[in-house]
Amino acid sequence: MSDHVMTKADIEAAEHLQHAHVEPKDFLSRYVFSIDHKYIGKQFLWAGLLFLLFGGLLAMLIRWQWAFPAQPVPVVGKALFPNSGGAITPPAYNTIFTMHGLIMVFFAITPLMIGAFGNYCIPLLIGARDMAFPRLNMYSFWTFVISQALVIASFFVELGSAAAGWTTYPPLSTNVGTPGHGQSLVVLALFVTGIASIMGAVNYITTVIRFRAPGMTWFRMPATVWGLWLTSILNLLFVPVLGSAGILLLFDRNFGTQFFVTGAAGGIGDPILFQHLFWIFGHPEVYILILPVWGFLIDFMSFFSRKPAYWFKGSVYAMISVSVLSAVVYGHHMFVSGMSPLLGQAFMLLTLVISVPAEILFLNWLHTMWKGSIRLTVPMLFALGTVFVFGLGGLTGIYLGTISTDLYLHDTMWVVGHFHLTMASAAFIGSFGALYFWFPKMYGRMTNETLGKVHFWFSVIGVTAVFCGQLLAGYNGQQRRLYDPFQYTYIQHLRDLNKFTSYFAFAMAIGQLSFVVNFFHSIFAGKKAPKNPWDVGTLEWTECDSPPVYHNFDKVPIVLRGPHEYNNPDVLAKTGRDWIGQTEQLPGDEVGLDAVAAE
Amino acid sequence: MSNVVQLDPRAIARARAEETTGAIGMMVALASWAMMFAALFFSFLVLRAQAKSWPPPGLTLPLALPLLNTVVMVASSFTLKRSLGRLRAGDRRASVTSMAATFALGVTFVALQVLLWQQLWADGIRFGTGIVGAVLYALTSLHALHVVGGIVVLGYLLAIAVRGGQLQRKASTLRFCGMYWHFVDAVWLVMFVGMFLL
Amino acid sequence: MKSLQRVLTVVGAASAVLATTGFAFADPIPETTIWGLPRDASVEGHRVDWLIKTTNGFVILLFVVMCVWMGIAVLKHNKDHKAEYDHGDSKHHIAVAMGISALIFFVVDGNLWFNSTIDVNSTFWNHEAADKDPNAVRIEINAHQWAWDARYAGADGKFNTKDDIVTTNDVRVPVGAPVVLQLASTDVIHSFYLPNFRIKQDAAPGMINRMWFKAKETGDFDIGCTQHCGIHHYKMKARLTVLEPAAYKNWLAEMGTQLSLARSEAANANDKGANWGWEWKRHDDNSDARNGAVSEAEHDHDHKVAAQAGGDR
Repeated sequence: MSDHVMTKADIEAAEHLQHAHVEPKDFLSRYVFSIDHKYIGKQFLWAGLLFLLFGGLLAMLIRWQWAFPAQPVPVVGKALFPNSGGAITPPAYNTIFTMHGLIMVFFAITPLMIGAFGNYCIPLLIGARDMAFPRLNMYSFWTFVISQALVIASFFVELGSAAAGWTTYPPLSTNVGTPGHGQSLVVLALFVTGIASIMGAVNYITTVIRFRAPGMTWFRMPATVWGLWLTSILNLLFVPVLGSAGILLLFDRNFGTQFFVTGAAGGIGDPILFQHLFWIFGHPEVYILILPVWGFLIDFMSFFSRKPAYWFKGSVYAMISVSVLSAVVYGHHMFVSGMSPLLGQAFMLLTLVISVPAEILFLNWLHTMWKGSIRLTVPMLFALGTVFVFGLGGLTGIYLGTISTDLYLHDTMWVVGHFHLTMASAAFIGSFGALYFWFPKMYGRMTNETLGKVHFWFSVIGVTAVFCGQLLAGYNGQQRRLYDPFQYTYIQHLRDLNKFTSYFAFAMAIGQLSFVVNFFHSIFAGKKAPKNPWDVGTLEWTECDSPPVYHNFDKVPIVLRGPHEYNNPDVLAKTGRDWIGQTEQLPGDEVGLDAVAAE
Repeated sequence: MSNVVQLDPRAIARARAEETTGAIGMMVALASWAMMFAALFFSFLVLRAQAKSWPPPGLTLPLALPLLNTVVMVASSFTLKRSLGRLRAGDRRASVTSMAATFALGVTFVALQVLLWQQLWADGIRFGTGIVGAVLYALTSLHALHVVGGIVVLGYLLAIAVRGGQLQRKASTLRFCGMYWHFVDAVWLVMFVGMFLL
Repeated sequence: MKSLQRVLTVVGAASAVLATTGFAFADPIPETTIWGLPRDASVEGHRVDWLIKTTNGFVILLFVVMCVWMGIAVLKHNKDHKAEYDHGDSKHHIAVAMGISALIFFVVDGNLWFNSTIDVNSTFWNHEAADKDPNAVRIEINAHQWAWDARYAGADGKFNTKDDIVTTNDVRVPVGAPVVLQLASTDVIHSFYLPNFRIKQDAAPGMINRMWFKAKETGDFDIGCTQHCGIHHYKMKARLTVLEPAAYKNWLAEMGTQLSLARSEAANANDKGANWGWEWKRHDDNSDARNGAVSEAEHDHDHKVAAQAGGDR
């Protein structure tokens, strides 16, 4: 697609390239094996929300154990832990925190942020009728379901599910350190979900390259698409590295090879090799889990401040820089593993450098808000909350990127607080904001604003309290992953801190009910949504009904400008509105398409 | 023989555009696969650098079988390339012949791999035989699995051809299969050089 | 394994004897406030504390500025305020944005990078200087599920010899002297953590890692494991006791006497389990870190493979 002057031929070609699917009639093709990106997006949404529930319940078990060590868990304790009178045992605890981490990262955030919003939004926002490979899209969802089934299966095997931490370091994660099939099933599940991610990434990347509507130049794309596209590239390149680590570990566990097996168990494998492979994936992964949210933030701050996105190109370049740098900073997870000091120093420098693009993003969000006309809609509240939480979390990261401070803070609760603020809180609060934003388009109904605000306050106050509590515990030296931290003298004075952190966590969990009620009620009985309830200019709101027709666009849209044109004086004068659609022709403008050159 | 049919130029344009989209998709997918094999090679290199010797003292790795594997693999890439070329030129018979040859060579490759594993096993190299065993079996079996994947797709195309189906319509599938096949071939070359030659 | 058990029984008995003779453990002093770092008993730990605290200052400042900014914007630039149409991409705006980022980067990150580089190179990872110190105390630490074994070289100054002093979960050092540790593990990765000395290092099988510290006060301190290592990871606690130099010498001598009595019947030169130590890795040893305790296994393995290969031909 030419990025410069469009001709009539281009537009006709675009119309023909994107043929409209015929809406299927039978149940299986409509509701099970749909190839429609909008429906597949919703399938990922449901799958992700379900596992978010599982991951959250596991977190509640951890918080219970730290508040009331070895006390029987109320209500569900006797059923879950029958052999210990309802109390969590050390082996059970190890499985709980391991699966909490893995489920949240791979089976909750990924399907929600990337599976649901990537699928739903990308074609609509770029003016496409569907993804480049609709059937591959359907396969990617069902591959993901298989991986979820493997995770569930792992809980029902003898010796239980995985228990070596989400980081799965060998030798603990080998068959010697963690015997049984549970760990193997989980590693296999990760491999399978990795395949699903890569299938999705191939689709998203190709779709954005090939199916942007005429006039939709790269810098006229909403930041949401940029975030999802860059995330897909990182997924594409780095999930396979995790896959290779998983393959080697599975070989060690099941075929007796010695890639990582060493020590008294025999063997001359190299456990540190696994750490390298894991973190070459693992660090880009944390950017994978935040780039779409950065995209949402750039867009929402603009939409709801009624101002253009401040230095949009700078934000895009910042996201690109972070993506590029993400692979070369991974060693900061391994400062105390025994790496050479020179290597460590290189990683430290690069890690600190990667904070610069993040600063640019922050300044741009803050500048976008400033002197705006801020509408505190529910999506905007969540966006503001995300900026708040991500700022806090991001700042705590610099202590960990610096070697000498990391010598003290590594593997303490400071790390846990840091990544829960950035990866968990910002990712989820940002994703919920996106869900409230696109809900009217997805389901044709509005959500309840009051419940949305209740959800916002419970969530933001909740995550701030809980994860600052964790930061403080780590500051005091409390290690992570301890079944009973109070064995150590220097942690005993933190009993109350841990207890209160847990109370806030329980309250935050209960507060999520406001979302559950809102979500289900609104789907069935929410107020009917107008075409464009937010008065924004992106294609899904200006060109499509709520919800859109099966083939999205009757005619492929022709894009004339970017998505952040708010309070443009020219537009105000000619239309009386503070916004203008991406395809909208202003009265008095030349109709000729040749006039639409790159701005 | 090619069928001369008057085609709608817009349909041709759309078919071309769809093929380009597919080719881009395949290249993107191959980038992912390349990263997986790159990570596996990285692991191999790290382990090999740390090992006292490769192969361990008293052991020599076979050369004849891997070399034969290489010849077969490279030949199969040529036959597949020819198959696509002949199909585009409208020469269905030559295309199917080359496709069948590729299929046969692919199956031969896998069979030779099995022989190689048998030979290694007889030489005393088992899964648990240090780095040598681990790397050889893991990498070659993963590679062979990918060859099998390519064979399956070729089989599907051959089945269409044998039943007299519309092979021309599947030209882009053959092209993508070719891209994949050449990639798998290249991976084998790197493996052969890295594990058996050097 | 049986001989190891016997040695440990004797060690336990010796400890009991020593306990009654005044070399007892005392419990570490509990911390009193949640709002600060734990007691710093180390000579060099203040570097970490200083860096943490100065960064705290910057971070709090930046965070407050961000909150105030957002607060003012939400309150003053609300829906009744007329928005300013500004793409923020003029040269001036870009320069300001880059300038602020550069300022924050050079001041905050620069402070961290500069000071940490000095700290790490001159002190924390400068094991050579510590090892060369004539007063250096050298201890080999072997981690295993779920306890910490410590080995002192004994009177002959050589590790893995008959006069070594081996303790379990009991590391005693003199105040004011550099204590140099070499860390290994027999099973999974553990991590030796001294919160009161602001330092930790992994103990991994197949490699020998290094760590050093210097205590500035006597007392008892917790040693924690800070790498998930299995079911009893949470209990893998040991005790560091910092003694006056004279008391430390006495303890060493007494332990040596007790153990030499025990060792004569329990020692088995070929018992790998009892003799897990290794030759002290010199600081100028640039060879693969993965020698020492593992080289034996690897060596045997290579021979086994070669023998098999030869046998089957």
